[in-house]
Amino acid sequence: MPEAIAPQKILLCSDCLGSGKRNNRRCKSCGGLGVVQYNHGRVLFWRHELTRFTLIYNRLKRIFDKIRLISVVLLALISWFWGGFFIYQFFAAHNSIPTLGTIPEATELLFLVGLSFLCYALYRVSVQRQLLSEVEHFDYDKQPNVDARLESWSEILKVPYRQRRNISESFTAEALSALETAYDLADKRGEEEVKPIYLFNALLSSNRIGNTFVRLGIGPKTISAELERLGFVGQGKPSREPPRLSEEIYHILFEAYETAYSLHQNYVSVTELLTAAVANSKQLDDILFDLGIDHQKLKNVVAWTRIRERLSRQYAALSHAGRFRSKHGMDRAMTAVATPFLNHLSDDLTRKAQSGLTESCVARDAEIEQIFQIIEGGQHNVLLVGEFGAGKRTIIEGIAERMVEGDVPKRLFDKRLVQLSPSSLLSGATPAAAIERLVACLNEISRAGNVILFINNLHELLGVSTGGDRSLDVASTLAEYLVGGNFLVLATTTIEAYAQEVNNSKLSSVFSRVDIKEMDSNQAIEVLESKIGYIEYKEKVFFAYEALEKAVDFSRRFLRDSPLPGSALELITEAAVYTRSKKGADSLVTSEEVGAVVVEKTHIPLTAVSGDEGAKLMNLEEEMHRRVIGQDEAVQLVASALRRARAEMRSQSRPIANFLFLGPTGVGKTELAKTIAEVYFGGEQRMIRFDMSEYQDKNSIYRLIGEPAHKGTGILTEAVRRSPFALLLLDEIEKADKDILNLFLQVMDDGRLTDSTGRVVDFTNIIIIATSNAGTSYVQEEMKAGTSQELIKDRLLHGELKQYFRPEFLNRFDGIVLFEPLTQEAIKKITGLLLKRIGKDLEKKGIKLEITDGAVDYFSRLGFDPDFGARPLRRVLQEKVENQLADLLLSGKLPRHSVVRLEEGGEVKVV
Amino acid sequence: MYALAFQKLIIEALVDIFYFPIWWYSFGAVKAAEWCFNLFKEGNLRLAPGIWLANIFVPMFGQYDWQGRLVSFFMRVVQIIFRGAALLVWTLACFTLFVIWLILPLVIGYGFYRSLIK
Repeated sequence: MPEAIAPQKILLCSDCLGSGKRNNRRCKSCGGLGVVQYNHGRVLFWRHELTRFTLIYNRLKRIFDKIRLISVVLLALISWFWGGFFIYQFFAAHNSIPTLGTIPEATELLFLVGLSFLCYALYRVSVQRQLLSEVEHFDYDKQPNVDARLESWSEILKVPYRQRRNISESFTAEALSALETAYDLADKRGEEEVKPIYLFNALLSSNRIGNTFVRLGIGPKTISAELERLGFVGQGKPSREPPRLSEEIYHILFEAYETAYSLHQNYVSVTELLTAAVANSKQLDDILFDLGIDHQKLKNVVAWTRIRERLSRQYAALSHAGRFRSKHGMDRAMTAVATPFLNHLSDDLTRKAQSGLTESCVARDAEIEQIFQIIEGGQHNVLLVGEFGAGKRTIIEGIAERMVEGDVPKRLFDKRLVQLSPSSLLSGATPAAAIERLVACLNEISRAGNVILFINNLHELLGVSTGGDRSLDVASTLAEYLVGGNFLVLATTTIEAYAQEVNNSKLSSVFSRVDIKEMDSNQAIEVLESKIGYIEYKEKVFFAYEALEKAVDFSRRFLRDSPLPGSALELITEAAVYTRSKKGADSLVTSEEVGAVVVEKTHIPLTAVSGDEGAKLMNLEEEMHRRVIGQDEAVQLVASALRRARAEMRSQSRPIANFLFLGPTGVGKTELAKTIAEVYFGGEQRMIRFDMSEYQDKNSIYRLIGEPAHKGTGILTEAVRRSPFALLLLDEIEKADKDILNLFLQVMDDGRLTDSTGRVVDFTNIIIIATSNAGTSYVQEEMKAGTSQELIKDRLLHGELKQYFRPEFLNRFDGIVLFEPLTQEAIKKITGLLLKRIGKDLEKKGIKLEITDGAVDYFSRLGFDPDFGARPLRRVLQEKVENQLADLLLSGKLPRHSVVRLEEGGEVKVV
Repeated sequence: MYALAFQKLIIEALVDIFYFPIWWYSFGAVKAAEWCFNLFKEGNLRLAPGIWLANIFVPMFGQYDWQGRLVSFFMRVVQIIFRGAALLVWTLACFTLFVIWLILPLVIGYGFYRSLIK
């Protein structure tokens, strides 16, 4: 569907207000045209009489037409049965079938009467089905021109009759009937004008529109109830004067026609009216917005119904075209040669397409065009390079379908697309025998003349070699044949395999590379829409549009093992099964079910998935302070950054947030990072942790992003690719090599990183936290001297830190947080927290731990060391508490239900 | 208003009966011609003597030796003759259907005349 249609300029006659009549006579000012628009070089006008009388007449006519058709068919049948009865009588009397000469006269007459009725019925059906006139055929040279020659009626009336077009004749009976209902609704309420809201209300009773709203998760009844609540439905005080169509309605009618024209449709249906109505009425747009439906969503759902119609048309065209192709792999001119050996080791994709066994390929027209251009351009073979699951094979199947339809360049016309099966080629054979088989196949293809070879996962074949230095391998054999240009090869491979195997082999020169990128969200939604019919039919559920949208969104964020649309397709299939098991057949799959399946698959909590956690986010500081003691500034800074991210106020092409945590050891830097992982991502396991002291030399960059032309990819890129919704913790960043810091400079800026195989890894759903001890001694000295924290931070940024980091690197952080050394008070709180954790462990064993204030005081004094933060405290608790408890447990002195008390002086007493 | 509407419907229905033969020989005839032409096109696609004619000197089944070329040439000639003939029959059948459309009202009229007047 075209994204934006320019607002239509229409010319409305001020004398007759669009009706084309004044005092029951043709309006002289506008020549009876009423309302016009000059477009595509024609004068489009609307003339469809809407009066109280025509409303009644049209209603009666619809009933009358049905009765007339049924009666005529019945009369035809009765006549023939009657005639048949006379023949039966004749047969009973004479015991022979009548001949032309002896046939009873009444029978002949009845046969003729029946035939006449049938001819009349044929005429009626033809007349009733046909639109009065179709929407003009789309002309690429005549783009909408809404500004031209619309100044005056005198100019319009000079346009010859053959260039005038009554657009109402292209509206379907259903669309016209909706308009009539709208007129009736407005009339009953005594309105002066028929407004879009009445048209909308009338449209709701259409099945197609009803289904559209069900897909949006809101039944037409809910909308009707909302309209009633707002006072747009129900009887009013009828006026003596009948209503007339408002100017907004005329805009809607012309826009609906324009939409149908741009979509190359030959009729204007209720769906075009609906989108035009919502686009042209602020009131309607607001009502729908309050119900959670924005204009874009509505347009997408309408486009969905059009995709389904288009696919079924395509399928019909394909099966029609398939009937004219040979089922034995022969071209139509019989010039091809049979390929028995190849047939044994391959799969004929064009034949599959003929039988309707291929998958429909949508949203990949650009890629297919690119492939055709390469093929038309010269002798080059085509290699599709893309990740596993990106849809390379579906594109090939799309090409197979087009080959059957004949909608391809000349080099592919009337040819077979044959897929070589590597497993058949290699099974039970030594490498030498496999190469021999391949050569035999290639020879057959060269002779056949009508075979386009397709090799799926080319890299699977490339490893095969007869061994030894000067041995024969598949790559060179294949390259040798392809250089000859006797036949065309289409192949696919992954990005990684291309970088490692194809790029360095002879094959790279004979193939033109076409990159098949992962689909974007809109393309993926289109694919889901095209496949959903089968899933709905199989699982007996139906999908709301929102479910598809969320499935794509969640797959992009949480299910990164395979790219779109494969991952989203898998997700909606599972959501359909899940919904059926939970809600039963014929229920609606909404975003909630999709979310639930994501939770089951990934174990990310639903709040993190659905983002429905407003209240929790507002109290984020409190939540964090449960685990992190002190460090108010750090917590505050992090919390506001997370809130910005959740409200989508952040830049979408950067990581969610980048933080640098500075401060001495043991003050809670890592603990805060863990807390963020828990609060924001739903668990500590969603934290990817790198100890940057392990990456101190230049070569270690390859460990992070992989080394070109080597197997495998880097640990950083792979980790983020696999879990793109996570926290990336870079411990002790100052120890990493400068080149590695430059790498992160790019990540923090662009939100993406390219690995050694050329794959782009997305970092836009990552929170990056780097920790550093740089300048710790300086900070501690200054703090002891009582310098304010702000001043210390400022001096640190402009002095101490410059030794380690370049200013542009520091600039990339959303926040540089200076962690304060822990005070005695903070240590006391931490002691309380840690002792509570020990208590919880004991609770699991059925033992209660009582902690006295004296014990907390004692341990916090013992564990306090301003230089090492909270670390010594852990050691103290291990030695003084945990060791003693372990001894007591092992010696059996702590049975279940016993109570242990920690007393002043650290004494552990069993009560 | 209902009575008026009903009256209009009845009058229109009567006019419709008289319009029916006019439609049959105007818009209806055009439709029937289109339908028959599509049927012919379908037959042409299936039998395709044109493709055989265009490739008359191209050897069949990749037999590029002179014997192959010779046999192919004669085979193609035979095919063109038979396919051409079949297409001709098909075309005649399509044309006959169209003629039936045109003469059907006349036949019915004559039948009525014969049965009722005779």
